[in-house]
Amino acid sequence: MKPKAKSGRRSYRHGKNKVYLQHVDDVLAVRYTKSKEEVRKALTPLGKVREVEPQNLFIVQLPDGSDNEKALRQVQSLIEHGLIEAIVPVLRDEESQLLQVLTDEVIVRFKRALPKKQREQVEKKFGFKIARQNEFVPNQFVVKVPTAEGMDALRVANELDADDDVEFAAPNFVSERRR
Amino acid sequence: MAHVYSSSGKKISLTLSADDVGVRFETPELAADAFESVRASVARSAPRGDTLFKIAPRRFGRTMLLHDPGAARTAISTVRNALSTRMMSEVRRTLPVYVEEESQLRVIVTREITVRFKPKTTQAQRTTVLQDLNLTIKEANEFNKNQYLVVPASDTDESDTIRAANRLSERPEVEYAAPNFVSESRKLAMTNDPQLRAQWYLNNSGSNDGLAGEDVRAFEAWDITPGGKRSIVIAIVDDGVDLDHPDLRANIWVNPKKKAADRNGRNFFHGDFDPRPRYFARPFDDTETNDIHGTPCAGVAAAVGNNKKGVAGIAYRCKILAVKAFGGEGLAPNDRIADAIRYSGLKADVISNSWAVPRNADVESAIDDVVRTGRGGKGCLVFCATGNEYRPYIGFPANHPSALAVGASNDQGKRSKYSNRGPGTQFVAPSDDFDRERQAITTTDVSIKNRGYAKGAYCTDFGGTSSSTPLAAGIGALVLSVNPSLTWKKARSILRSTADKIDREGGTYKKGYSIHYGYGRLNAFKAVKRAAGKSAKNGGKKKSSKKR
Repeated sequence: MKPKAKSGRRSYRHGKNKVYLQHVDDVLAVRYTKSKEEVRKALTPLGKVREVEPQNLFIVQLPDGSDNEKALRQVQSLIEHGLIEAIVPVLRDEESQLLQVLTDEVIVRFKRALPKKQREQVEKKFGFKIARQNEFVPNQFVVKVPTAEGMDALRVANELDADDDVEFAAPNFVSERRR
Repeated sequence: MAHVYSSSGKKISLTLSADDVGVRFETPELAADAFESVRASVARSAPRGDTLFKIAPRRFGRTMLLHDPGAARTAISTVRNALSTRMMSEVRRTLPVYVEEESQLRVIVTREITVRFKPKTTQAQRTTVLQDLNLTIKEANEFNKNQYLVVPASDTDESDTIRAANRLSERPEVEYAAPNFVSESRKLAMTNDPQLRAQWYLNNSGSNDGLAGEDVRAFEAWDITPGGKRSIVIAIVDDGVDLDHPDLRANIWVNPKKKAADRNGRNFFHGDFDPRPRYFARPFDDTETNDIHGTPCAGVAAAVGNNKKGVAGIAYRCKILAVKAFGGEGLAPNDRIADAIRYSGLKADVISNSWAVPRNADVESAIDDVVRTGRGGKGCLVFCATGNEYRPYIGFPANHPSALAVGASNDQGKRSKYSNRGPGTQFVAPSDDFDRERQAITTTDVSIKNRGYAKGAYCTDFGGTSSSTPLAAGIGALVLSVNPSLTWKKARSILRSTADKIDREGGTYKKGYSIHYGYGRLNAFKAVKRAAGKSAKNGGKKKSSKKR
């Protein structure tokens, strides 16, 4: 038996199904720009800090009973000081109960190789920029949505996934793994 | 205490075992059938604690060894009742079992005696000696004209064999004579790795309160192959593998292209070519904050065997491809995890994934990619852990239709309490069961000083479906070692059809499938034997077209 989905959730299309995600308000994720250690120092009093180095991300688990709103305001002040670029949404996958950090990237695989001109048209249509081509699958790309904050990546992934030329599209979450 | 003389005249001391008894059959095939029959009988009887409680057999060719407290006094009718009707008539009596004092290994006494006469003795003298002792020649030795296998001329009991051998060896015409024991020593000497005895999951002898026989039958599989000749490669997709570990180094995959950047694998987490563990933080034995998980997994699959060091992996002559997809704090971008699998599919035959992440399309497509295009189109075997959360459903990517989901069983042949179960489970393989305080897994550990689960280069407390998965992957590698022409689906079919249906009462098997155990506990011996048989039928068309 799988856990039942709860209300107030987000979702994205996954083939014929939807993947449901819950908002998490006791975990904050920030993308730092520079002064990594300074950011870590500022975040450490708020809770347990985990780093995802390749993505320039810090994940902060706020302790039980903490004032989450206050913590959020403190983190927002780091943006004003130019230490962090964005506060990134953190969601929890309902099926696995594992955390997923929503980045500004979406993975898209087209059904066939697209010529450059056609790729530019797709970019314009959906409002993203192709960041890189997959090393192993020539018709697969990682694209960047305009904003790192908010749920843009979910929206773009859902729109792309519904496109006839697309085999699949999904947010390039930074996923928690369990061992 | 009894003794026999060795060829050098030295006395070899033997003690009659009160807890063992042997049974011999006409052919190895009959013995194999009987073996399975008794195993099934033991499994059925165990919960009720009746006469056969705890008797778990081992088999050496035509001979079966039954072990249980007081087994030597077991009535022949009890043993016969454990066999099918067809085999009952095969068993007329049980055979005595002795423990050799020096090695503490068991030997089963048969009616056969090996005798070598002195070269100058005549044929007439030899005949006289044998007649005096009521012995007759069963066969002449193929390689030495003075040596024979002899048996009593009348139907005497096996308990007379040792005495007869000693009387024979005392004759002046005889160079030496000794009972032709069925000996345990050959099996236990399969590799010389000092911690092999602690690796109960390979060959459960019943020590440390384990139940003998509740294992993957690795030693018997190794009789056929420990992997190797065709260099089957197992990718360990995890938080890195200690390439410099003394018990892994010789089995680490090396790129045949000398100038290639991916010399021994890749690091997708950081985007470079060094797949070694990189993150360490206090406490250094905490899996969640240290890169210490991939190295034990690699050891279970393919630690170097027969090197007089530490442990042996189940596929100890196969290669390990180190693919780092995770690091440190336990989060990783989906595209990098997926690409780690795709890369593995280019270089490896079998992929071991001892982790779970939220379901995602890119990892799904990566698994689809490697089963479609891996191994020159025959498809990679992708083993994934079901997870350790006590849940009635299995995690992702284990629940992907093309993945081979592996749960954990314990040293008693029961599902480990934590092991997730549910539809999609393909197999179980032995691991720990800490809730029930069962034996854990001894394997390689990060060899950097004071890093890893233990302080040294080996740990004794590994476990979870994290451990059962590389064990299964290693068995998959053995299957492909003897028959590289198998497609991934055919290999899966062999693994399914040869798995042992353990815990028949609690497993609720329906049409051979259990949501607790899938198709059963993997049996390396039966799987390799079946795959080798299929290979022979293919007329030796075994060449792999895959480039590495």
